[in-house]
Amino acid sequence: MSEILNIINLDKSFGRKKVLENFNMTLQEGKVYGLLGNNGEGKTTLIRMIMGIIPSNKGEIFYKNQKIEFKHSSYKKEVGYIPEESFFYSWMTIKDLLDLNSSFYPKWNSKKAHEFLERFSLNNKVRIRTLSRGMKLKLGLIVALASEPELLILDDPTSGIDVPTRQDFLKGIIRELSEAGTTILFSTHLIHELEKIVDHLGILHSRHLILDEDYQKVKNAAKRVRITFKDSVPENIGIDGVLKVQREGNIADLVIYPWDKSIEKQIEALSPTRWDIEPLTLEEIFISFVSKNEK
Amino acid sequence: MFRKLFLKELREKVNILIFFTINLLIFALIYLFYPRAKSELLEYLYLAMILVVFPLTSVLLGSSGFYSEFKDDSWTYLFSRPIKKWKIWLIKYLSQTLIFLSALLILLSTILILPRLKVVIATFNSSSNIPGDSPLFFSCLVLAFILFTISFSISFLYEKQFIIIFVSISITMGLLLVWDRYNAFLGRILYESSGIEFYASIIWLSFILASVITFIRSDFSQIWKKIWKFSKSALLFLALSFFLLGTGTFYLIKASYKYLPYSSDAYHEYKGDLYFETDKGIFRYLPEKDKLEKIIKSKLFLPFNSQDLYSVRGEKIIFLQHIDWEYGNSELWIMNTDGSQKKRLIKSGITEDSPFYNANIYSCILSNDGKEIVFITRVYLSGETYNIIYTLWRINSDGTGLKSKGLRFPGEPYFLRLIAWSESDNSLIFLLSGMIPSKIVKYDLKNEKYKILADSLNRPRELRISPKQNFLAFQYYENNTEEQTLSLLNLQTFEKKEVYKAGSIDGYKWSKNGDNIVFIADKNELYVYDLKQDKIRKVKELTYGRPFRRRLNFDFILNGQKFVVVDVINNEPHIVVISRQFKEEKSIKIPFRTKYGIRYILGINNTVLVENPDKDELWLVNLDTENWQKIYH
Repeated sequence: MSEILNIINLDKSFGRKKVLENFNMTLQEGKVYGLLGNNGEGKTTLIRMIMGIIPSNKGEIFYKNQKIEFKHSSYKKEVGYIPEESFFYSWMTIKDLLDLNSSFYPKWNSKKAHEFLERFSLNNKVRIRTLSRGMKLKLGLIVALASEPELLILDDPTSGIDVPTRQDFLKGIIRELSEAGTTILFSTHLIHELEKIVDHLGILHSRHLILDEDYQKVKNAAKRVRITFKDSVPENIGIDGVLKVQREGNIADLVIYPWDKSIEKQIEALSPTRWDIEPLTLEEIFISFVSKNEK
Repeated sequence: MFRKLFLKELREKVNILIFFTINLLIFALIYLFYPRAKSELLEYLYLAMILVVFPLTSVLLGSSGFYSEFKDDSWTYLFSRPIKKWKIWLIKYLSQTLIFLSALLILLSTILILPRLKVVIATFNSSSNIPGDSPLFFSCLVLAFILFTISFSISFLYEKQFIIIFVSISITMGLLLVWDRYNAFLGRILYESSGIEFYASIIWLSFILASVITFIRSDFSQIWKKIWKFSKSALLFLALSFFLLGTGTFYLIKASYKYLPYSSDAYHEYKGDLYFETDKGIFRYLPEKDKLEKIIKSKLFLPFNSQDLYSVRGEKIIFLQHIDWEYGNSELWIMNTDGSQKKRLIKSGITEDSPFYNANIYSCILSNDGKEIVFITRVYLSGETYNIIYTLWRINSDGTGLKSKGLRFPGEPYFLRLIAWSESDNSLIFLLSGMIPSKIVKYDLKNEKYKILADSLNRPRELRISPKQNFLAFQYYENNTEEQTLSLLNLQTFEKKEVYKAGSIDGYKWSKNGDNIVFIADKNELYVYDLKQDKIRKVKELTYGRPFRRRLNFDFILNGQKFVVVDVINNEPHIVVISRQFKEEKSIKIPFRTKYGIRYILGINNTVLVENPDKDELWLVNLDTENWQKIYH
């Protein structure tokens, strides 16, 4: 499987504030990459640099092994982009917008655009300024999808929209696209949204990716272990890969990554009265990684 | 893509054009139906239209260049599309310019279809000026364009349109001030400064270039960084523009001041010595000593028509030194022919109590004995372009006895030029022209009356009095044709005689005794006219081409005993010596070639002065020894 997007040593600062530093990331073709991060961690900045909206201070971005620079634009013909908020020209009608976009993209699919308009119950003649946020998201999606992108970049698009729309968006369209082989970079801070659609997971924290791994591997390798001791929990537990420890009386809740068979022996060596392994949700994995890095 | 984006931009901004057109329509309706008697309001409305409404529309249009992107925050949308940023900028600029031009066209059409308006405009244009010394209407259009360009160039820097408008107006005012001062400076040192606008246009281009570069390269999420980047680029390009402007000005000055005097009146042979003036000063060449003396250092001369500049007579030289061209201020100086005892006689345009306040001194002539000077001054009355006061002045060469007399001639001529001072009958010969049919007038200094010697002359030129001051020769064109006539006026009998009429007469020269005139006519024929016998004879058919409209490459030598003329022999330019029996005696090869041929020679005894205009050189050839000598370069 080839790389569709490769980011090497990217730096970005706003004034004295460094947002990204020596940032590296790789997107495999056909995968759904979930980019997690708290608000203000630089997800939007990263995506804007990929889309050539703002320049980086340092580093390189490659699209299909071709270096892309701030001034380049032709790669955008194959990249669909849905920003956090879809800011179109408010005076235009939906038809005007689609018509304008059809001139930008060589693979523009008018049929698909109209199908989606019907699916989302959007009227062609309506002016954009009258649309709700959810409808604008749908319109942004139509614009992105009708351009038949090879890479679709979604920058936290579902925040602030109602649950049914979000569900339709995530479970329906994103899955359809993924199944059709479109590479997707989905950035969000609403972690649970990614759970069922993501192939690869990246966690952006403190200017770097603190996790960049196949989601199934992460899922399998991240475990919560509840250990019950006879007396109190020892000061030094001494188990490899502990991301997070919670003590409550004689019970210790550990999040361990990566899980390994040898860890079982390390637990046994502590002579617990009982220990149990539980799987973790994506949200718990995220929180564990972030909290470990904050320490 | 280009077309659709272009149309989108037009649709966005067309409202401005619609409102401007409505405004103009209302204006036009008022013009058509308002009572004619109360036209003062119409004049104010016209002023408001061109001074306020049109420039305001332009600055509104320019500053709204990226209004939609700011209002809808659609930068992200626009920049994430597969279109190069410079194309986005260009499409916006072109569409805005189209709207600006449409507004201009509508404005011009309104003016053209309102005949009454034209009259009002004419009134304003003749009397009102704004910095840059251009007519009001044209200046307003230029002002509007500058405002439009600058406001568009900075419109993407900040979201608040009113700030963009005020900043644009401030920059425009600053640049106008600089341009006005620069023009004033040029006006003081240059007579003609056309071409400098080309360099000036680079100044406006600076904003365009800074705008494109900032737009392509800057980070839109960081406003101050964007503004800083634009400021840096704009300052850099402005510095470059001013450097180019300075370089252009330097070359313009250099070119304006580098010249040889192309006029038979500019080379004076006086008592065997040669006097001439160039960009470097006034020179005297002493052939016997083979010595070139610079008797006056470089000064501000008129690079043409040197007759007005200096006069050599009675061991004296008078000359004008121009202080600045803008107001025509100048000084009249006198000195001995060797350059000693320089004295300033008159200084014009200094204080209001001076009799020469705002006076433009020109046409100065020394008396034969060098003891008296006559000159005329003109004063333009403010606001009235065609209202000029001409005054005749007389002053002794020691600076005493200044007298003046107002000159009023029939038809109030726009141009008045003193051609000659005929001391034998104490009269002056004037040429009157401009707005009236040209006239030659003789003005009696004693009884202060004038007599018209020739009237209704079409483009008279080359007016020169004979050495004995009894005849005036001149050329003029036949009405509505390019045919010319060489004519003579007897200044005693006032008899006018047509000497020769031809398709072209290149020029003529008087013989030293004033009995003959030699001239080239009919393309390539050298003729001599004998005044006593009233006879014209062909001296020589020339093979030389006719590169110049005015050619004076012939003369008398040895007190009129022989002729010299430049001709081409075996493709080489030669000086040909011809006897009075029209026999070619010898030909001497000229040691240089010029791009357009030899335009001027001057016979001085048995030597001939030859001008090389390509290199600004003067050569002298001795006709006996055939030795060439470069006397000035």
